[in-house]
Amino acid sequence: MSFDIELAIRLLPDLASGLWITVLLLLPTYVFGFLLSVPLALAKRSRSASMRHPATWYVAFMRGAPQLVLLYFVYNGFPYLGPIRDTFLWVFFKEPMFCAIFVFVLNHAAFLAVIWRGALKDVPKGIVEAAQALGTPNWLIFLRIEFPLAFRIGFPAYRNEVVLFLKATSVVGAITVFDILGFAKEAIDLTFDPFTPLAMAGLVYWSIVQVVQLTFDRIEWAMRLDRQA
Amino acid sequence: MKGSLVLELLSFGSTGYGDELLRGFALTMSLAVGGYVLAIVLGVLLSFAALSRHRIVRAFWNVYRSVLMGVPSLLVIFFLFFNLPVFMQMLTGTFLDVTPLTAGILALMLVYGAYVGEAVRGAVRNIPRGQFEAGWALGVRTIPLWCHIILPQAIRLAMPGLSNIWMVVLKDTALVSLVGLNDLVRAANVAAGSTQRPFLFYSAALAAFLIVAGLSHVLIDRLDRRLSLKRLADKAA
Repeated sequence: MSFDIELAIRLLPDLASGLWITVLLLLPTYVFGFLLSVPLALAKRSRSASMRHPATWYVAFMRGAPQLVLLYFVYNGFPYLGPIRDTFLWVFFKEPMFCAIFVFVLNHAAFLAVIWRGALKDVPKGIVEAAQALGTPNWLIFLRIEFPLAFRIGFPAYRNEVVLFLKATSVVGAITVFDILGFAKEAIDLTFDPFTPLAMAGLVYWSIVQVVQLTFDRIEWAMRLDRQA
Repeated sequence: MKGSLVLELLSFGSTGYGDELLRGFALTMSLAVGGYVLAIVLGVLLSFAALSRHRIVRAFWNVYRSVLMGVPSLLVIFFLFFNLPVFMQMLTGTFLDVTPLTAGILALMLVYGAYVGEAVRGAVRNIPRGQFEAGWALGVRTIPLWCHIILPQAIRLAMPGLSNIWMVVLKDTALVSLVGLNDLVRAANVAAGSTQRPFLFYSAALAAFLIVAGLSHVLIDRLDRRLSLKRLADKAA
């Protein structure tokens, strides 16, 4: 068990293509997960029970289910569904990569919805009432006043979820998508060196996590209220 | 799908997968509970390191936290599963087989120990300094001070964090099936593959996870209420 520098260097191209796959998984997860989470948070706080209950159940389901089982469910299960196998949807769901993105987007949205829901609760009521008194339409209040404030409040929790999902994508090997960890595991099978490939993969994950943390530090600093005043 | 077929597939014995699923569920639960309990023990020890006066000990904590929180838990599981036998051989000179269960429990302990350490450290930091000072003023020694004054209060403050960690550990046990542990997820996967009934078996596995998560929620709420300061004050009055 020792670090083989030569092997580490030979692994770099493989790790780079693994990294590319991880990034391809993450970008749609972050973008669409975010876009889906905001209406979900609104449904969760809706006064109408027919909006609130489905959203609450959806979030509870998604937060309690292991991502691996959800991936199996979609990748191994959906081909048995007629409406998916026999229609244009099959073009998408036959691709493991699409299945992974599908699961992660739906999952990410549920985790974010809880954060926005909590943050929206902490937005001072007076600000919203002041805007209403000025005759601002409700959608504009939400878009320009409520959500920007809630985003700031929920930002530390949002940052945690972003890091968690970055690491969570490493399970996609189970449905034959070769990401960073997938290439590392293949290298173990080929070289019988269990140490170097995993150490290198760990280094890659650790580095991306640090980059994400630093980026979020920067954004948090830029959003500080006293800086904008 | 007919009801009788579902019953047969989920039955115990050679025609159904009920016994395999139940055994898998027992493994999943022992993995989750074992990993969580060990993570708490390690996490409390790590929080001492995090709060230490010595710079080197704090540096060790910072490196540990950064590494274990910076890599996926699946990577840690793979790492231990493939490297522990070699490592143990180097250490003891004899070959020791590392089962997926051992690797899984140890990985959950190491990864979530870091999260527990962070939660406990934050809780201790939020305890008023006066509590320490009052203890010192009364001549309470370090160990009783921690065991009887600081930690009981810290646990209450760390409760929300610790219960979140339990929920995550429970779901993360699914990953250990990828190094060959015959847990609930693997049992469901095997059954789904050989019977061509993926929805039935994956739904069963999902239901088990959701039920345990729901029950945990109820228990945690109850524990939260029991530990609440208000209740303690009412009882004392």
